[in-house]
Amino acid sequence: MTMRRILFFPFLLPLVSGCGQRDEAWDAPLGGGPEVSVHAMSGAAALVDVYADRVIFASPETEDSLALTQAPIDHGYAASVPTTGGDKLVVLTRGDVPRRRADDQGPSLTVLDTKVSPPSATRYDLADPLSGLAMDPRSEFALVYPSTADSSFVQNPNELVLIKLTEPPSSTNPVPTTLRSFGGRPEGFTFTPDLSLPGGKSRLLVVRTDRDVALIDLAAPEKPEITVKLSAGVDSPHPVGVAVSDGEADDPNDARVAVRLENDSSVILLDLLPTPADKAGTSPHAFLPAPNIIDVGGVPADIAFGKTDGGLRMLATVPSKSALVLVEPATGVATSVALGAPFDHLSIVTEIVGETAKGSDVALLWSTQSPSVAFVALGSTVGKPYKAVERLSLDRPIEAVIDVPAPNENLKILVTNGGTSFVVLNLLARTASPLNANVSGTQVLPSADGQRLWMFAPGSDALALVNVENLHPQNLLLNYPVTRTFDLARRDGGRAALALHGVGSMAFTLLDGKAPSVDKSTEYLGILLGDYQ
Amino acid sequence: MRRAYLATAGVLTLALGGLTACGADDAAGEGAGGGDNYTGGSGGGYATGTGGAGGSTTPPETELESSYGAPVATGKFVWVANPESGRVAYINAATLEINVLDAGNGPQFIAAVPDAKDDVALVLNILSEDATLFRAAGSSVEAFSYPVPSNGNGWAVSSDGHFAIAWTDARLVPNADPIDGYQDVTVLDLTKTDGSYFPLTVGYRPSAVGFDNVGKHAFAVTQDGITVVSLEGEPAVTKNIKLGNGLGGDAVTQDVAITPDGTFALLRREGDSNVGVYSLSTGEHVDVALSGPVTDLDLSANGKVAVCVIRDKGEVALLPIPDIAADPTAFTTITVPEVVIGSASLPKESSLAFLYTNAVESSVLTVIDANDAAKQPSFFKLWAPIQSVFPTNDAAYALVLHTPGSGGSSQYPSAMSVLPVATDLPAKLQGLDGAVVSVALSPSGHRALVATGDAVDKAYRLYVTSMPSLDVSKVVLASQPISAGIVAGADRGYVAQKHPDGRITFVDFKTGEIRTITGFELGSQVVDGSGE
Repeated sequence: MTMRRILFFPFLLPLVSGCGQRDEAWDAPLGGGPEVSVHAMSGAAALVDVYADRVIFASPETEDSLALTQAPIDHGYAASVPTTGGDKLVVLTRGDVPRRRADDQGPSLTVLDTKVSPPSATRYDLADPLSGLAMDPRSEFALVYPSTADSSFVQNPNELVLIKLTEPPSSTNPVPTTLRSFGGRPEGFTFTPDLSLPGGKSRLLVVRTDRDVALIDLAAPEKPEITVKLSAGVDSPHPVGVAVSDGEADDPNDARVAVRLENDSSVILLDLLPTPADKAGTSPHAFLPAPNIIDVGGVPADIAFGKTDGGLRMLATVPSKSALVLVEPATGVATSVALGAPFDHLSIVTEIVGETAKGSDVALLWSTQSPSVAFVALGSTVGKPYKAVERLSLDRPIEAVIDVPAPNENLKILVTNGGTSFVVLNLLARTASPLNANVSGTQVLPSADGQRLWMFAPGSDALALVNVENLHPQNLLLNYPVTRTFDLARRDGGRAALALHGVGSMAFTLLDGKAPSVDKSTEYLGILLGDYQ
Repeated sequence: MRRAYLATAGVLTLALGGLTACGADDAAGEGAGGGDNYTGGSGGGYATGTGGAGGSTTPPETELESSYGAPVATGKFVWVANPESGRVAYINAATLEINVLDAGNGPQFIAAVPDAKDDVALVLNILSEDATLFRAAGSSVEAFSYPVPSNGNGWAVSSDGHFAIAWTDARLVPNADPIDGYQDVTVLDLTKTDGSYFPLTVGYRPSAVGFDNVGKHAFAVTQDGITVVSLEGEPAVTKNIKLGNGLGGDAVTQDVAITPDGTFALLRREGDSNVGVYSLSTGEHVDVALSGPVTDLDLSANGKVAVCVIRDKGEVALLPIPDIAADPTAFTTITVPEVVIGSASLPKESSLAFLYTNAVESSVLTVIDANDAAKQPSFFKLWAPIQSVFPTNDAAYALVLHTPGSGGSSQYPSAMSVLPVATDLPAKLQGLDGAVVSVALSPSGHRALVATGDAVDKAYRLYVTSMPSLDVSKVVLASQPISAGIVAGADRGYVAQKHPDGRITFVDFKTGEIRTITGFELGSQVVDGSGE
């Protein structure tokens, strides 16, 4: 037996339990508190040690070597998010609140770059101690906003700070914005992809408040935002979801934003059209949204845009009708596709399964109410409707869907029954293969290279590796309960599995990612008590 | 046939807080930028009429051209009112930009006001009993308010936009009490912005109100006769001209045509072989005795000829005006052999008259020249029974609506033909998925719109016909159409549809692009930071 144990500081802290789905598993604080947050970076596990104002990066080097480095962060940790590539960690800190002394720290956003060792830091000073942090999926922008946890004496809930992460700090970066308010406060943010808009390509930040929608032009965030009130009457509908379409790539006049409303069968469609000539002289924008109300016949649970042989359609799952409703954006004409079950989630999977013979999209639908998934080929909007609705029956309704990275992105992990039953759904073969766990709350973590699934359960010493090719599980029993698992690239080119144990001052078990063996594992104890330079 | 059958013409209603607008007869579209195509043509003056049965057992002719509702459009705007919100939305048909204006309380009946340079609309606010005049010039809109103590459910607007009259058509009032005469009307001088108004009393239950084309008189066709209103000086009722046997009643209001210059009124009565010709200046009248019961009466565009159809005899009598008033025998007769004719449809800018019947199944359309009785009629064989005919202004084309026929072999509930009249080419027959709700023809005659589908037959469609290609494209509509129209200034057509928040679909005649706007007032809820 070659298992090694490396002890840093053997003080034990209380065990911290785990949490839910993949994104939370990667990013949520341990134990529900802000004391330690963990993140999976591209080549390291990051532990945000709130008490010590630092981030510990655990980087596997070889099969039996783990490099531990740390980077200091400012006081008053609020939130942290890795960038999409996983090589940077964006950390929001509130500073010392209240600031009583000259050397007390102010609020800031710090970007830690792990491509260098020790990680380099870029610090953006902020004016106000805010706790909400949203990250652009392309990691070009970070957004700081007041969260409900912020409790200053006086707050403006509509203050936003946009940080251009691709640019250094300057007098124009960050960009503070106070949303024009009609009584609402921000509730959700959507960074759009590139959109061909009148005036040129741009990305938008769509801000949902509890009663309206604001559009911020990310190409010129200093411009006033565009606010779209969702009702002309007294009662304000509550926007709860957003979908975006660029339309035809070379058409600057057909980008759209769809806004789903709470308990409302209407979807508000915002056509982003050229600013009318009579407003062009005064409007700061080259485009303006033209709102349109679309009735989908029941309260939609999810919306998206999809391509059909008849052109672009807005898709809405309407569980009360057990239907998928397709709406032609230009005319508002709705066509209902009977699904036979109340599906409530929807995603376009064309990039995975390939488009139909007529170049149309394929939608994957799943349900938290009905034990089934459905594939809908959006190929026939004219004549007979939607010949290709294919349903797969499951044993139980789906609680969550986990993506598997490329090259096995055709696989989806369906979580059911409180984390004891899983289904590996193959979008190409249209097969559904079960995986069962005997511990409730078991979590699944696909490896970044898409080759493996790691399964673990909070409070359990068990860890399982599932090869996605044959779905063969390899069960391992570690010495401590597993809180998180990371599948990381090693510096020697291999893959490492790193099991985090939330016991005491934290511990890691390092295993080979492709051929894990407890015998050849290495344990690192007392992680939080180390002093890494 | 320029009908102003106010029971249906110009009625545009959006349910549940949408708009209700009654652009009554001339007001709704006449001279308002091309929106006036619902009647399928125009004679001189204005008229009421239902068509008749003559004296035979054959069913009466059914007047359908004016029953499809008139859109409210001005040069480049479409105007819609929301009685619930008290606002009027106007949509720039070129850019589809929507703006919202505050009107009075309960704006409901809206009319386009002809104007040489501005887009002008007038809305009747039924709860506050006033009217709001909107004048859009460039990007600015001015609003002026006028009391309307009579209230009403429709407008008549003079062709020069100088005067408007708010009045009530009792036929649009559900279960109207017979004691309610709806005799109060309010005359507004729209050139004055001081809010002055002129309440007047006309005869019992007016069925049509209109103006002469010189702006000196207005006329109300009532069951007491024709009430003449002088507009010279302060508006005042100057006389009432009794019709028929002088006892009045509903019979005298069924088919009255008044010449554009306001000189004469012509009266047709059901089953009567006589056509009454009344001088509106003196009240004198003559009866023109024709060969049989007159089933339809229409004035030519210039008001110089009255076309009277005598179905039982297969004849058309052409009454020259004003000569017929001096000599009641001075008419000419055209005999149309072997083809049943009972109705006439006259275009706005042509002397041709289109003759057909919808009382019996007939698929032959007859065309005569009302200015040349010697010219032989032309016959156009179509391939389904004719229901109604809508000629283009210049009569180069005609849109013909069909019933599917009694054979029951057709799957289509209705159909239409596009007939190239001027070139005498074969008509294109097109099956329609639903019952026709509204028809609109562009003033230039290059496009025609037909909207189908009602509450029962839910095949909501818009058929866009292009001339001269006769290409017909079908557009599925999201909800029940109310009325179709043309915004000539923007070269677009539109069809208003039922929706709680208002819905209208525009068709770009240049590109064929279809665009539907739903939620008129939401469009005004965009704040872009202008001026911040």
